[in-house]
Amino acid sequence: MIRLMGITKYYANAFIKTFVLRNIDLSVKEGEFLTIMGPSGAGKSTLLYILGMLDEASEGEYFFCGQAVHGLSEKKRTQLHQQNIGFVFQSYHLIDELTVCENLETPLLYKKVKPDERKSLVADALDRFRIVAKKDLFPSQLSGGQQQLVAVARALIIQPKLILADEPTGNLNSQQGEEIMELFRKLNAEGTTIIQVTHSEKNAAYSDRVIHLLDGWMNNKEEAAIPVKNPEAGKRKKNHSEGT
Amino acid sequence: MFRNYLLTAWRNIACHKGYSLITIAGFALGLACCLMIMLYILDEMSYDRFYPNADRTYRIDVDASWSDNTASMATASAPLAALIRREIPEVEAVTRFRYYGAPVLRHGEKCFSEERFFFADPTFFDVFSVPFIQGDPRRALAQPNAVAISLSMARKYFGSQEALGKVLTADNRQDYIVSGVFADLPPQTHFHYDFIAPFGNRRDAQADSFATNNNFSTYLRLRPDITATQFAAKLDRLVLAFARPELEKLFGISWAKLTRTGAYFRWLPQPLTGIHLRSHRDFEIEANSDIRYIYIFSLIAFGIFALACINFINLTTARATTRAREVGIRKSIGSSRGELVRQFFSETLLLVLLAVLIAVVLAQLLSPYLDLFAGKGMPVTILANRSLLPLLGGLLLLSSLLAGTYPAFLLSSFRPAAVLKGDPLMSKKSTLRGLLVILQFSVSIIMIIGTLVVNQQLHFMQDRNLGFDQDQVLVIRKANDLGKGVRAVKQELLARPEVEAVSSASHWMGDPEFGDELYKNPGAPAAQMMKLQRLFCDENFAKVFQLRLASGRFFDKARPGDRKGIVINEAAARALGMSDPAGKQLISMDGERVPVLGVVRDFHFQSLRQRILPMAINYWGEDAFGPLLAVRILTPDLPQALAGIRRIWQRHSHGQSFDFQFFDDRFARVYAAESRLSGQLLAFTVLAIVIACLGLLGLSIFIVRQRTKEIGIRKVLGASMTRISWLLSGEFLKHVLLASVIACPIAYFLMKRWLGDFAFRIRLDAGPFALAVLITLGVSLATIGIQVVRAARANPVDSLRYE
Repeated sequence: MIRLMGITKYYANAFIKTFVLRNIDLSVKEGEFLTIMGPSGAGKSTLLYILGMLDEASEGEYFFCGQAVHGLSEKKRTQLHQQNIGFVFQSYHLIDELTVCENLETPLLYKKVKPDERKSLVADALDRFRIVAKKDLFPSQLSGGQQQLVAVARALIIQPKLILADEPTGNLNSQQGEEIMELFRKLNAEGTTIIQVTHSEKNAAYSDRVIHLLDGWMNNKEEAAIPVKNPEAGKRKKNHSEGT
Repeated sequence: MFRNYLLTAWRNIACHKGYSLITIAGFALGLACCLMIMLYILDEMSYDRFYPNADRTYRIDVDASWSDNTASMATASAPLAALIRREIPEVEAVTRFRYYGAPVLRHGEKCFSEERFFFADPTFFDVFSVPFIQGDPRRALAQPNAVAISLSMARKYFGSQEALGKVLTADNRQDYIVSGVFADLPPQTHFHYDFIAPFGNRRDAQADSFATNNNFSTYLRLRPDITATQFAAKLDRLVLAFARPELEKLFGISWAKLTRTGAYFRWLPQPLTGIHLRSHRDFEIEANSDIRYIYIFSLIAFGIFALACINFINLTTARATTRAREVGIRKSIGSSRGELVRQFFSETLLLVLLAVLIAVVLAQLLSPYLDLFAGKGMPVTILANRSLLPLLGGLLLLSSLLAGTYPAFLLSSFRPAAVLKGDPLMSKKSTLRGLLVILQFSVSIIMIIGTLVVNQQLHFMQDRNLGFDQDQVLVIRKANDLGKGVRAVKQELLARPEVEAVSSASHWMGDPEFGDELYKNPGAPAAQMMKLQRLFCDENFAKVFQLRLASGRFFDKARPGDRKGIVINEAAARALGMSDPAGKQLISMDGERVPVLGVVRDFHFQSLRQRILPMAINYWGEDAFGPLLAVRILTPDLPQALAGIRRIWQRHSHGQSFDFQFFDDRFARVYAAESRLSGQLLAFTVLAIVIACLGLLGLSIFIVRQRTKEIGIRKVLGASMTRISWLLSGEFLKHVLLASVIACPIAYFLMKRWLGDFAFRIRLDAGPFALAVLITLGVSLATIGIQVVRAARANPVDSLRYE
């Protein structure tokens, strides 16, 4: 489904090139559940955004379902993205000015789904995630877990082939986090491809495969080494950020 | 989709009330100003367009020049109309009219002095086709004693009765029979008339000189198949055929020689619709407006509009940081850039729509203070204006485009990868924003300079020694309505102790125009006839206005020979090339010898806009009665003196109203245009500053917020409050200084041009420029001050806490 070849990302200043990703080769099969791990600044999120077509690689080739993303115009890329990809973020990223219902509806608007179909899709999603009672509330009126639930619902409403999740449980307590991960597992079982970025070993355990990034390099051979070195690092950090 | 856009937009407005208030208020204020100015301009441009075929209607003007004289008249000679009708077949209709003063009309008990009474050719309504309510426009002026009157006059004199066939008696001498009632004219015409009577057998209307006695307003309508240029060429030919022989005879030299000296004589077609704004000739029917005011106000509207748009752009882009996240989210859930652009445009549209609605209300509230229409005595309800809706629509679209484009493209360009990761947006200083702020300051500074200079010139004109004493003089108007009874009034007035002097006169200082008469130095050739302004008065005129004599004497009632003599001013002596004309003689145009009794020192009998023209004061003799009766009063108790004068008037007036004015009040009206402009400029400048300040306030809030962390770090490193205040204000100060570098030369150029219209004017020195920059600095510092001090005092711990 996804094939990355020699993906490199750098930011060029006047004199210095700062590399974020270096020569990444990666294949993801349809229905796979992949975890990207690595310390802060390793380039995980950037890779995720490139996969989600929200960012462009500086060099390299990206094929999505056989289509060369790197060669597409911005318009085509947006289309490909809005048909196939759902995003879930650590800090939920709901639109503050819209209600739950309207937040769910927005991706469908961009996809130009017809009004009655839109209504039924939104109703389905509200049902499925048991948030019907919350449909007219604004994000600020929801708890973090509820917000993330809405965010996942929003990502799923377009029935994407691929879900990209950037530390989806990062801002949640462990019970809420587990619920979200269970949800992902279920979705994956139903055939949705999922790629998540996480610091948490526990979350990584839900996935079929884990890749590790370090300073922009992908190194599958060290796959086992890093978590062993510092098994609780991700968790502690997560707890800290919950406290603030 | 659109609903979703509007929903977000509306909730954005509602959630960020302060920001929305600043943005919308500034924009609404700016739009209100533009709206008012545009309505004013449209109104000014609409003059005389209500006449059918207005675009084919012309007035014949006369331009003439010889030796040092020039004459540009809105009137032409008596036989020209008939000549044009005969010689130029492309002229469909032509008519003449003339004003002979305001008659006192009576019908039964009702008695009024009527200012808008004109005599005209029977073809009048053929050229000025106004709708008739009663009677037939083609035959209304057929009988010599007929009069066509306006509907409001019909109501005034006859109430609900049928007006047709009723009699109006003029000055107790002449009866007119109402032969038609026409609809009232709209205010937007250069020529308001309420009564039109036919010339009948008036001798002057039958005069046969083509070149002289240009007393008749002559209007005509061209066939559609001839252009104004072609028509003008035909008129040129008529000049050569008919006016030339007369001029050669008058000046005693051949046309070839005359034109070689630079002299000319022209008949010119003046488009009807251009008169109100572009015609400033002698003998205009009413004082016209000036196209320059249209330019000035267009500039102001443009400036204020720019201010408003800049505010909007600056505030929206400054807030971009807070919108960035939303952009990222929307892109991540599938929005294309185009859709985001559309979204931000709809948002702008909504904001602007709100602003436009508020602007209409504001315009309605502000218009009395801006006085744009007051010159016309026209109460204006903005909402009733026909042009309002298209204008609002235009403003809405234009401002949405101007104000919305840049923010929409900027905001939609954010890369989700950057903004969603929560990286702080690089707080790079926006060059564009800096430029826009400089532009705003420039507009403000230019407007402040303009206001100061106009005000300075106004005071200069009002304070200048005019060469006569304008205080303590009361002028009774329409004194000639009493006929010879004026003489008794004069005598009784003089008998009162508080009355120092009384004089009858034809004109008074400040009248827009005087008649003129040609004279020449006896030694000079005929071609050097000079045009002298003409004033008639009695022997007390110099005493009432305290004119000072340079040489010779003023009129003396004991010398009957004085009636043939004149007193001239110094300007006339110079124009005639005579160093000491008192006691000498001049030759009038008819070849008569006219003794010069004395020379008065130059006095400003017209606005300081004009140089002092040569003038000849003529003597009526002591029993003369003119339209004006000027009374110099010497008493601290003005009301009592006034009551006494009124009693005397009423004893002799047969019910004629006591129409008086204090001379200084009236003379102040000479500068009414400048005075109004000064007031309006002040108002618009204040509004412009308010708008700019709103923008500045909003901007400073955002900038201070953006730099909170930097301020915190600096404080931790030991920066004092003063240093931080300077750091934050420094940029604004730099902008103001840069703006003054831009604004001052522009303002200098504009004000130089404006002052160029005044023969007597202030010198443009550095004062107003420096003051304007200081005011701008002061006001902007005050505006950003609160924000800056708050930021500088904030505890760095708060801003540096890890988020």
